[in-house]
Amino acid sequence: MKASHLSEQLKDIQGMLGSGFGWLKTSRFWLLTIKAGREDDARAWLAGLVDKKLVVSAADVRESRKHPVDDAVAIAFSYLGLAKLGCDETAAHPFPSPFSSGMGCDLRALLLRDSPREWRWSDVESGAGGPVHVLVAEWRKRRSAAEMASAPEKSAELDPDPSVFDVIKVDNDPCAFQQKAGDDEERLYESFGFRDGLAQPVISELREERGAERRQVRLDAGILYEDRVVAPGEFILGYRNEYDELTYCPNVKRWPGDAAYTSGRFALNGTYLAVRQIEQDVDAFAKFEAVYGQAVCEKVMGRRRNGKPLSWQGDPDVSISDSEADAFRLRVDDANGFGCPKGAHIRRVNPRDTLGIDLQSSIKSVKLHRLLRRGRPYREEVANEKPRKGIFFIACNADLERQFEFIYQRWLRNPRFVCLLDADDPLVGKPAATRSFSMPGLASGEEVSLAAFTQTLGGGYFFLPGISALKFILGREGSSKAVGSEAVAARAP
Amino acid sequence: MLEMVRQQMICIIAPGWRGAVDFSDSGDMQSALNALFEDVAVVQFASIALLPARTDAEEQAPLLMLELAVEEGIDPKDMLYRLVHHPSGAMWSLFSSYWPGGGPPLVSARNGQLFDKLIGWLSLADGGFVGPRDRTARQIRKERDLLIWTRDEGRKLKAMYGDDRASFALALAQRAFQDPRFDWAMQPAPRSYWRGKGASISAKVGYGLVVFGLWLALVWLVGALPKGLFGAITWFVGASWPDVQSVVDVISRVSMWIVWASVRALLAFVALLFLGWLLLVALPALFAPWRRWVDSVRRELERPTETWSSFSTRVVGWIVGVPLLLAILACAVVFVFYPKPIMEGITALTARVPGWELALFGVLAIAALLCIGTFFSWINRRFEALSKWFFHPYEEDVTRAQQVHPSIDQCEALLASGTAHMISLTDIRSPNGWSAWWIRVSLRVVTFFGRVFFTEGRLGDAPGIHFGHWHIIEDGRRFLFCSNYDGNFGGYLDDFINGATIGTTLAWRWTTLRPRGSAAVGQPDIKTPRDFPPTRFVLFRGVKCELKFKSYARDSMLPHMYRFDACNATIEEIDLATGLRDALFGERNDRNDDFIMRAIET
Repeated sequence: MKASHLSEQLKDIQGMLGSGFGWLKTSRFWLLTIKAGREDDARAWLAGLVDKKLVVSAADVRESRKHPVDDAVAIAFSYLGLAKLGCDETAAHPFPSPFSSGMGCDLRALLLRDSPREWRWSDVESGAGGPVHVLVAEWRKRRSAAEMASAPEKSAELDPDPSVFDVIKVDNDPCAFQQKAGDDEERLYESFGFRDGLAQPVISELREERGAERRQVRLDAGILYEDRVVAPGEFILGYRNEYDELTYCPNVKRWPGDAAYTSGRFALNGTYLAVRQIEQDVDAFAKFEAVYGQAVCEKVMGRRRNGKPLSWQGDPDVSISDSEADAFRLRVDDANGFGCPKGAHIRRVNPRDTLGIDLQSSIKSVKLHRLLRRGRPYREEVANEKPRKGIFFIACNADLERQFEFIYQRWLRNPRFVCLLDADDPLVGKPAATRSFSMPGLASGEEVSLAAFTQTLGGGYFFLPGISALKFILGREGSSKAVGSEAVAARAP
Repeated sequence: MLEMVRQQMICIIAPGWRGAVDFSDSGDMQSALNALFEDVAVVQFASIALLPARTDAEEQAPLLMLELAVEEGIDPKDMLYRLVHHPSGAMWSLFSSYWPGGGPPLVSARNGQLFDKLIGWLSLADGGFVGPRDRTARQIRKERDLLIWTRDEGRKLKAMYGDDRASFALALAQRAFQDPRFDWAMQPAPRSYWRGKGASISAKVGYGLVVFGLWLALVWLVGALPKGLFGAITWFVGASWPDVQSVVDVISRVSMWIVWASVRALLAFVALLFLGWLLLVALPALFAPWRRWVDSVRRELERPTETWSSFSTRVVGWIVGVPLLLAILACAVVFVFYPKPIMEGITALTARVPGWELALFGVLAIAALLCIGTFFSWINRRFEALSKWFFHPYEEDVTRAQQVHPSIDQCEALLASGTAHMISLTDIRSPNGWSAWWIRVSLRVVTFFGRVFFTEGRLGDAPGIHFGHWHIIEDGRRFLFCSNYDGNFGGYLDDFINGATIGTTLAWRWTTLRPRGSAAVGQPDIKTPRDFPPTRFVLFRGVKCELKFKSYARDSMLPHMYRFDACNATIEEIDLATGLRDALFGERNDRNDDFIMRAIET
């Protein structure tokens, strides 16, 4: 059997890998723990989402300009969730160790440098409660009050049955999409008021933009466009990655494909999601800004509030495209961190061209450690308190160890990152009593004291299966078969 | 030179371990060993692990490995003597299980027996790389103190000096100079020869030329001395001995032949270097098609893409490249050992064909090669879909990939905030003697390059290695690799894959993983054999097969039970602190001032 061609498999890839559904302004995330003995009911409820065609594919996303997608759902499972639903890994092709051990385990707390944890939920058995088995992500078109009133069942149709699941709901922040001065349309802003969703990698054979739009995106980025183009195998299991190797595909028992080949295994067209619920202390950040000013806040983040790079030399009031805002390097323009400090949040999560011995090797090396972010800001109403805000962080990656865990351990939470002295990430670092942030400058840098701006409330690793594998998990085995390229090509219209 | 590197990284491999030592934090052994290594003051890293026995070994008990990375210039016997005869008796406590009766009552006799045993189990590294640890642990600690002090002083002085960089740096330098605690820093930071005075290219070339000159002089003397002495004697005595004369003449002729062959070998080497530079550096820099061609060849060797371009590269490479390379090498060998036909050939050719025709022929040959490559590249781009369909690559199954034993994960997690550590144990492929010989030669080459050329703390382009060492153990049956490095294991292997491909492939390609049991409860075993990824032309591919290589390396790993790190510092921190010392106490100039300013703001 031959390895699969991505272009032939788009119908089997869940839509969230193809797009962040930027046009669907409302989102909700459900963290579900299947109650004992209710596995069949859980399968039936989840299968209902598939039957209603809410689980869209990458092919649907690609066609969304002609046939708009108004509602989209993605379903992912933790390792314990897969086991709960009867999917046991095979001895020859088991799931990777980070996924099977779970983000919530004590070992990973040490590896990810976030011990001790006070989490509300995780993907393993813990004091906080049962493990989350299923993650359901939902994106919907924003509906007016009148539309909501006329069809209330539309927003309730996804509500999971509390007799089947223990449910944690993470709701949308309705203020996340805003049109601020200089914006030509509504854009996504996270709770501290910074543009979000920029600096995304582009999957080389799964580009979201088509035709003229794609040409414009390329034009805006100029020669730096290729910096963000990453091989599909970095995010989708079963395809060539940046090493030009087929990404490892695990398999489960009873899966009908030929397990000797990647394209015949269960995990083909899937991905792993590293999920974290991060609460943002908006008041603490506002106080910090009142003391130090906006310029320092932007240094801490590593970007301007409107998304432009700190080194942006043009007119600050002129709107630029996301592609242009993301087209910059640091090695030559900002080697000392005078513009974007070396310890700034965005420089830690994506050091671009700074860490290798030369520019090309740096860019090549960074492409091995990229994440496709699909999270959204959330808002939690609390009785007699101000609503709590934060970000429901979701990162798609094909190799949890090389991508999410590496970034988290070696860059984001490394107190010695690029020779810094005991400096954690200024935004998602450990909430220690005394933390400081240094900003290189002339003659030497400045330091500011940081507060605890964020707190992680929970996290887990999930597997986002291909659509055939999803149907297999949910017991729609009639429709699940070996999804080699030939099989899927035969089903294609 | 290589011996000095090998002596810095030693392992004691004690077979048949049946001890029951508690290495946990709460046990006495950990604190005793920590105190011992702190006290002897020349150990930079130490670790203890259990190596599982081979399934075909007579002794099925595991082997105890004590890994020591020590400072430059310490003789291993001296090192062991200091450890064994230390008054704490920690080494005896560690190895006392080898004396079930308790050993001799006299401490000196007991330590003497232990010393003899440890010498017998001592394994010097067969090859290794020392990153920034040519400095002593004391130097690293003192320079770190200076860095922290300078940062604190910088904070205090900032308001006074504002943006005046030169005055600010001068003030810091003056304060450091006046502080008696930093008197030691008056001297430039001591570094080993190749990282200090010998770091420049001219020093390396000069050193090589001096060695070559000495070689020529020595060989010439071997021929000239007997000839001179014999001539003097025959003149003095006034008699001749024709038999002796003929032997002396032979020695003299052989000596001169070796001298001229050495000179020709040097010329051939320089010519080959020039050719390599021309073909792999100069031409690719000047001509894009040539660059694409070289990239294509390299890609084909390392990661076959199975496209038209790859196909053409392979065909043209085999038809033109390999025969050409072999012909050039054959010419070089003939030129060194029997130059006459080549010189005659060149004379005849230049007499018959004018120089411009030869040059034209060369240019046309290169142009033809480029045209073929460009043609297939064009086909590849023009008919991308067809190429993908026709050359659709078949895959190789890699079972149980991305698996990490919990004990290994645990070790990595505990070292997340410090210098990471790995122990890898593999089997040497049959025939063992042949494979072990190749490994030794390869390791010596890697060690030489690491010692002389990769002196910036990077092996190839792979950063982050403090000490990496390889040992051939158990009479050439097994291969042990220990490394102390910055970062996590996955990233470390990525550095090897991208930055030190050839060295790593050379070191590991003659190994395999055979089934073995676990050395202790909770430690990893190997149920299914695993091969090192396939290599091409000895040097290529190998570690570039990411999934196979990482699975191979992961499966070969063993957890440590004990670990000592004399100073928890990253390579970047060590280099920064040494640089700051030299900048503070060196001459005042823009470069040093800026270095100080950048150092204190981190």
